[in-house]
Amino acid sequence: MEFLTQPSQAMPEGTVLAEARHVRQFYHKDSAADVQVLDDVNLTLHAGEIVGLLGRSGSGKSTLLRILAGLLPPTSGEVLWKGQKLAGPITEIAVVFQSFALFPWMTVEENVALGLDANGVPASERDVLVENAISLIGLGGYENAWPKELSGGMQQRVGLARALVVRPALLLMDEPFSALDVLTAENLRTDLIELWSEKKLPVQSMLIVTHNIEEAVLMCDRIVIASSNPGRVAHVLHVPFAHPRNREDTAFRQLVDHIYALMTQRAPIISEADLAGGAQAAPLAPSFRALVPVSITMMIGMMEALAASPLNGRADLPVLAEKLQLELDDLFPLGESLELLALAELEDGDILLTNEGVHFVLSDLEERKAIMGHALRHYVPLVKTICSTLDERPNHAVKAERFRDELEASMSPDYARQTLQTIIGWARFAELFDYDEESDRFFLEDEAGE
Amino acid sequence: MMSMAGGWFMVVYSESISVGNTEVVLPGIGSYVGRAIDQKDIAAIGAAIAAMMAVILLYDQLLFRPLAAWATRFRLGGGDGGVQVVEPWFLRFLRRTRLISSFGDALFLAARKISYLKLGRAVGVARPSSSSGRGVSEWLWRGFLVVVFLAALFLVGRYTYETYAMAEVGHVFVLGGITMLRVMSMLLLASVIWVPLGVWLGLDPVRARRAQLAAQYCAAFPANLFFPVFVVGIVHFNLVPDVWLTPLMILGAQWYILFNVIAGASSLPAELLEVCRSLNVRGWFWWRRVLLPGIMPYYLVGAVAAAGGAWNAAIASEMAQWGDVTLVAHGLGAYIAQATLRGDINQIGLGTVIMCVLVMLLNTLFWRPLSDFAARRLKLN
Repeated sequence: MEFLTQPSQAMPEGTVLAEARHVRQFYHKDSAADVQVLDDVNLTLHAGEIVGLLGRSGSGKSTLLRILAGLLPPTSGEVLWKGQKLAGPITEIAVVFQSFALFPWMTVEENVALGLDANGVPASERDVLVENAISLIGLGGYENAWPKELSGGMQQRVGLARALVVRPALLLMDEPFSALDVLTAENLRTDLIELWSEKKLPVQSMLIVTHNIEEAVLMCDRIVIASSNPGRVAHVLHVPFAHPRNREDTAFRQLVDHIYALMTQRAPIISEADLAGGAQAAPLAPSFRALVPVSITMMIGMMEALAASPLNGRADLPVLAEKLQLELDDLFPLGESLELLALAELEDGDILLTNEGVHFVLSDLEERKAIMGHALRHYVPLVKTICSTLDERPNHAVKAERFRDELEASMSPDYARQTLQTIIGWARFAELFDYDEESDRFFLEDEAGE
Repeated sequence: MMSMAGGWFMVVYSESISVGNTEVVLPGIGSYVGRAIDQKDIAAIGAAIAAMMAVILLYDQLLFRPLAAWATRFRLGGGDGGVQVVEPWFLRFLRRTRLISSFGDALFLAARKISYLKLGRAVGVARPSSSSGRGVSEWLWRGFLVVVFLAALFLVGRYTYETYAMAEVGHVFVLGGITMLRVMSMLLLASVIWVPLGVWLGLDPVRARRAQLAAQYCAAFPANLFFPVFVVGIVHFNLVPDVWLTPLMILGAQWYILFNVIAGASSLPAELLEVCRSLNVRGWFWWRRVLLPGIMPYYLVGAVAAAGGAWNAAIASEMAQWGDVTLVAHGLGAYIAQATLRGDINQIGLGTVIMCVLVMLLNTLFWRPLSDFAARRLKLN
């Protein structure tokens, strides 16, 4: 096995560039307790390596990237840059954003030149640097185009050129390829790795934040896996393959499988056991978990695909992802939601249907609704709380706001809203309760009568 | 909401109107203020302002907030659009009160019955039409329009020739130019004040929301109730009316600028601002290259509305009275206002037509091209 890293021009390989020490980040909320996003994160970035920060939504990886960029001060802990405390953004650290973040009123050339113009680089030097960056990144001929005239891939190339033109030592990329279609993303990844391998990039180190396991294994020398809620560094892996890497390679597949397994390891997450059966909602506050938006139809589709003949109830996650053409960020939440409802189990990078799950697939719609209702009441504490509150109330209606507030005690308002929306979708399918958006209330259909 | 301010403004202005010797007074807050001005009663004016504030507040709470919140359900696309509208208390009251909702249901049922009545032509019955006949009548109609247009042109021309000396038309145009100068300089002044403040407010979501509500409230207030307060000051300190009456015209219209700048600044994507910080884009460079282009489409909407409001207010603000003292600034607004007092219909007509011409020219030659450019080049997404 060879361990290949890229020594760069200025710094000897392995020199520490950036270092996060005991970084904690809280999301401040005025009403309830602060929500923790990052917990005691330690991370070192060396010259000559590409590091992948792999995590799911809720792992605070984008927050960590902003902290490393100096855009966001950590609540506690510190970031060192070449041994000095980082107090704010510096030109030696450049950032590429998921949304490209181009200025629509500047041409490609003006967008790329922004960092040089802002720092008063003389015109002659600026023109040379801009031209170099533009041709390096494959934008030659597009200098005078407006961003809106370009495809997503080309726009992200502008984002890359804009970051590279200031010759940063460290390039931070926040899900740089996830807004692109599959082919474009692959094309851009390959080009970037090629430039890196040929030492044509003016950077010494890159950090790629991603939720795509294959992308991380394809590009990175080191992969940091973050766990969620709050974000922590769970595992650090070295990727021992030389570039260019082959996705079909056995060792490559094994590493991908291994990471799948690591990421599906059961986290000690709150289950219904913590909810000692009471109907009272108030003391339950911190035990609700965030739910990602997973629609009922996708869950059913996944279970049916799993139950069908070649898989027969059990599948390797990467294989399933390919078969269903799902991205990781779709696949994991699906699998986890099924696991939460005890309809499927995740095990060593595999997913298998439980007996209940098989039963569900074989049932008709009415039966499915009953199974789902039962599962929701039993395994989703929030649903249980809402149902029992609705039963208690004489008018069988309750304001959704109070549940949102309770959720916000342990997660950000966005996640709280999203969680509630997911639950509403599920509960509507199971016909447990309905929701009136206008008055923001949960209510029971009048079969209960008044 | 914004247009309501214009409505209040005109109602307050027109409740007490005198054309020549005919004086028409309608009972209302406008005529009350008119009387107060005649009698130099500053306390009464304060009372009128306070009463108006209460009325606007009530009507904002009872009518506009609920309507606006309810109307969000008709917004197309984007689901919630990321905007979480808090249910206004009065709307909640309406929705929750059983008596009101049963009454509402009854009303709804009745309305539905009416709306299901079969009125009008049944759909699907082809209307008999002969295209050749249509063509002839079309041409006849067009010819008729041309004749009417030419006749009107001739009459207007003759009327103008007989009534106005060329010198007067020229004079009124000069007055219009002075007023235009006033409008533009006041827009500039308001922009210099409110653009930086609006940006500061708009970049912080919490501040933006509060400020927007405040600006909305201010914008709804008929600014001419405040005019006497200024006029008292001008009379007291013996100031030059040509200069000091000018700010009155932007008093109500300035809020359009603030409102839109806040909206523009708060709609800038966070990542664009992060790019700026990351690349050390700061100071004047940041304003020039990032912020001003970013808010320009919004700012222009506000500026066009403010300019319209200022022209409108010119008639009310270029001439002001306090008791027996009359302040007059030079300008088209004062010309029209004075002509109205004298009941000189010819001069009113001339002044109004020239104001229309100027505003139209300004719109076609200045605002329209600017807005088109902004929409084409500067719009995010």
